[in-house]
Formats: sequence, structure tokens, C-alpha cells
Amino acid sequence: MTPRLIIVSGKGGVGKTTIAHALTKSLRAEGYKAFYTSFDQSCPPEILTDGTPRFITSPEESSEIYIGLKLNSPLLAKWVMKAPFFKALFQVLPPLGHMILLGHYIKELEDNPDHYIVIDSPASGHAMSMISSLNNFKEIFKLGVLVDDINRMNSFLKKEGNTRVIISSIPTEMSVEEGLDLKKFFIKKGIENTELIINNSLNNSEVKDSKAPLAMKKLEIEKEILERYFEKEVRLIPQVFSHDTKEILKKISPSIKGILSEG
Amino acid sequence: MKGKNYKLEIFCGTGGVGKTTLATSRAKHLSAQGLKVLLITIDPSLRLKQVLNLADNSAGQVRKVNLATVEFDALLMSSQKTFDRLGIDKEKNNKILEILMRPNGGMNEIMAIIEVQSQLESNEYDSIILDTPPGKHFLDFLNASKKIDRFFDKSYIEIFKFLGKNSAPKSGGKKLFGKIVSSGIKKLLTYLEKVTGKDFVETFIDAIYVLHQNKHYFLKALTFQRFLKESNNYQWFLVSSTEQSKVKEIIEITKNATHLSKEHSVLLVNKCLDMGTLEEDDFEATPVKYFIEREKRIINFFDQSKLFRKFLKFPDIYEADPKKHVESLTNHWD
Repeated sequence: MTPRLIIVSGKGGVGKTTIAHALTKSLRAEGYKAFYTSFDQSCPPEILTDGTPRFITSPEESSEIYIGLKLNSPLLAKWVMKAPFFKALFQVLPPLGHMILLGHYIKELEDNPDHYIVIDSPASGHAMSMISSLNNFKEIFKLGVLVDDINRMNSFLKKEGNTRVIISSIPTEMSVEEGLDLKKFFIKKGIENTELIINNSLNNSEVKDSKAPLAMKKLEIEKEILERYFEKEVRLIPQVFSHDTKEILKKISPSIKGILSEG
Repeated sequence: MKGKNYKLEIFCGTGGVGKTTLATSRAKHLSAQGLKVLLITIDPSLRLKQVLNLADNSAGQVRKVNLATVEFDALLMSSQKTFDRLGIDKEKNNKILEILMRPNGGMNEIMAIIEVQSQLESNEYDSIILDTPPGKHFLDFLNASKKIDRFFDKSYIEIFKFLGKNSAPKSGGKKLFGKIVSSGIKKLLTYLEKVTGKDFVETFIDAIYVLHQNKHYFLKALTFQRFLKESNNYQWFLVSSTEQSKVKEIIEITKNATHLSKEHSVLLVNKCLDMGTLEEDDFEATPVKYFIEREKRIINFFDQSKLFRKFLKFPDIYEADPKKHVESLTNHWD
């Protein structure tokens, strides 16, 4: 079963955007109505220009829509969100906006049973804040419609087959350790379908074939790290030597397809 | 012998460029010169502990670090510990505040600024090395003081204080109530109550009240802002690698960090390949050639750009162990 919501996370510089982009395109190619989303208001230019369907909204916009639904009046919501105090509150507490935004994505999926969303999630620490905010705000609000909504979000995220988390890592010790930590975190939060993958792998890449001394040194480190941290085989996405997004996507596409077919 | 030192050295840059490792090597380098150094990381994922082998439960406490006989202090940020250290009356502890100060509660950037300012004021260190969150989150960190200032907007706080404790002076009560009605805050709270329940609104008002009573601690962030504006005693290190996307992000950060003055900034280009360790066969291999050419192009760009006071190159290191990375990088600071 193809997950409805795919969250791509990992520390900075591990290729989250490229993988989320490739996953969206791969799903589209197989006929799914998939959308790329991010928690940044700005959409990476390579995604804007190649016409990948996206679902982008800002936490502020999303909050206004949400409050409008709750108060039965979009006009009132506009007024509430304009109040300097609430504006400041959302700025001081970014996870509040992120949580509402995540709720927005989930509602979109609930309302449209044929839609699929790939989230280019913020880097690890902020991804953890976003997921933690579900329980944190539930504890803060205790009861009421907000808690009902948080419960709904939680049960969507945890329902078997709904959510898949892909944690990208590069073959360095720090990156892998952080990736494993993040994986543990998601599983602890009840999202079992979480997989760590290795991006920018030199195995099966052109570098390996070149036999250049530098490549061999790097490959040696990669091997050492993979042996130390993984008992079972881990999914590898090859490093592509190009700055052309189109070419990169084309070359990693076979390994991306593998991510979707399993898990 | 003590070299030229800055009271504060800030490391920022995009994710995955080796910011934390470079910051650690800098701390080690300065400490080896005889300076008393504190290394602070506010990165919420606390990567520093991997490099420094710090135990999981040491967040929020200053620890002695020993790296190949060089000793310095290190602190992993913990919002909760910083909040506790402020000395806010325990009785006034509030459920909402307690939850927000948790590791992933979302107050990291703001509490970090307060911590750095407290450490600067303590005057205990010759140099404080600050490792910041990656990319755009660094800008969040810089803007935290502005957010605090806005949050403590006077008129709103007065109103909350009144609503929370009903302890406004008798003569001013009427006036304040008029303000509440005209500002629409009472109405706002009625709407809030509809969505969240009365219990929450009461705890919420209490939380605002506690924050307000202790606002002088939070307003320390503004002193930090002033320090960056007026003092010449700090240095920024912008860390980049030789990847095109990282370079773009560095330029983006430089443009948006309005508190960042060019005179204080040094660009560090990390993970450079062509620093004397390549072999002849490397220059023949197509993919490696691709990297070398890209590196040349980017170094050239930085060389010509007027965005930074100066730039330094650091080598790519072929070791799995982060400690060895720190060691190799330390030598390049000379």
C-alpha cells in the first residue's frame, strides 16, 4: 500500500529536498495525485520551474484558515490573526504554526482520498519540535475542539499504511548517528514505518568506477561506517556528479522507486 | 602567550557543512593558546555531544572537555536549564511554560540568546564560541530578540496583567478596563475560550503574567542585540562548502542577517579537496575532475566577492572519527 503522507527528514545537507522532489515525481509517474510540500514558505527554484505539483501554504495562512473554520467566520479569523498579540505569539512559538500546518496537510488528505503528500520536512531538530508539539499542545489545551483535532491528527499519522518517514543521511559518522536518533524518535512517537537511507553513496557511483585515489579513500570510510552501523542491508542512493537537477533526478530515480515499493 | 581574541565568535552556515566540527576545532585552538574558552551549541539536535563524547544528560550544564590534553568548557543548550537558572519563583511555575521549555518545546532560539547574554555578562571567559542552528534558523536566532520585544508590547501586557490578577490599582482600574474593551482583547479571549476552554485561557493568562513579571530576564536579549550593534569585540564565521547550493544559501544568509556587519565576518570554505593531498591520478578521473573544477570556480567567486572581510580554506578530511576531524581542523587555524 502506498502511504498517503511521506515525511522526508534528516539533518541539514543530506538532500531532503532532492529526495522529496524525486519521490513526488516518481509517485506522479505511477499515476498518483501526489503533491510536494515544505514547511518553508519559499519553494526551491528547481521544483518551481519543472512544474512539480505542489501544495504550499504558510503557517500564518494556514492558521487563519483553521481559526476561521473553528469560529465559523473567516472574517473573524482574519481579525484575530491581525491582532499584534497573536502575531507575536505565533512568532515566539514556531511549532504552533507548524502543527497547524501539518493539520492542514492531513485534513487535505482526509478530504481527498486520492491525494498523496510528500513533506520536505525541516531539519531534524525542528522536525522533532513539530511532532512533539502534538503532545505538548494537547497537554496545554487539555480538552476542547483543539484537542479533538490533535487526536485526529495523531490517529491519522499512526494509522497503519498512512504515514511513512524517510530519514536521509550521508555516509558520515555524525550524520548516521543523528539519523538513527531521529528514527528512534519517530518510532517512539508511534510512526513505526520509518526508514533510514544513505544518500550520496559512492557505491554504484561513477566515482567508484574511476578508481581515483580520492574516491577510494572516501569509499573506504563509507564502507567502514555502513559496517559499523547497519547489520542488515541499507538502502543507498548514489551520488550524482552534476549540478543539473533533471540529470540528478533521472539518475537516482531507480533507487527512489525502491523506497516506494517496499515498506 | 595570548593571541588576539574576541569576546564572542559566532559560527553560522547551512546544514551539513561541518559548522559544529569547525566551531569545536576553533575552541580547541584558542584554548591551546592559553585562553579560557566556552563552547556553546544551540543546535537543537545537539550534535556537539557526538564530537565531544558528552553524556546525554549533560545538556544545560557547563562541562569540562578534554581533547588530546587541551581543555575547555562546553555547554549544550537546554531551554529548561536556562529558564531554571533565571531564578524565576518556583511557585509561579506554570504548566504552559514548563511544556514550552522542554527540549522540543520551541523556545530554543530565544532561550539561547538569553543564555549567551548571561555568559557574556558573567565575564568568566576570554572567548565564547557559539555554534548556531543551520541555515535560515540562524536568522530565527538573530530575530529572537525582536520577537521578544514585540511579545512584551507594553499595552498588551498591562491588559493581561489586569485580567490575570485583577490587581490593578483602584483608580486606574476603570481606565484599564476601557483599554481592554477598546483593544478588543477581551473579545479575543472570548473567542479563544470557545476553541480552547476556560481552563486553558486562565493558565494562559497566568503564563503571560509570569513572563511579564520576569521580563527583565527576557529583555536581556535586547542587550545582546546592542552588543552586536555597538561592540567590536566579536567575529562571525560563515561556514560554506564548495557545493553550489551551499554557496547560494550563504549569500542568502548574508543578505538577510542585517545585524551582521561585513567588518566582522570571515568566510570559512570547508571540505576543500585541492589542498595538497590529491594525487596525480585524481586529476585524471572524470568525477573527481568535476569536483576540482567546481571548487576552483567557487573559490574564485568568493575571492572576488566583497561580501566578507576575508576567507579561509579548510580541507576535506578522510577519516570516519569526528574527533580526528577536530584534530586535523585545529591545525589549520594557525
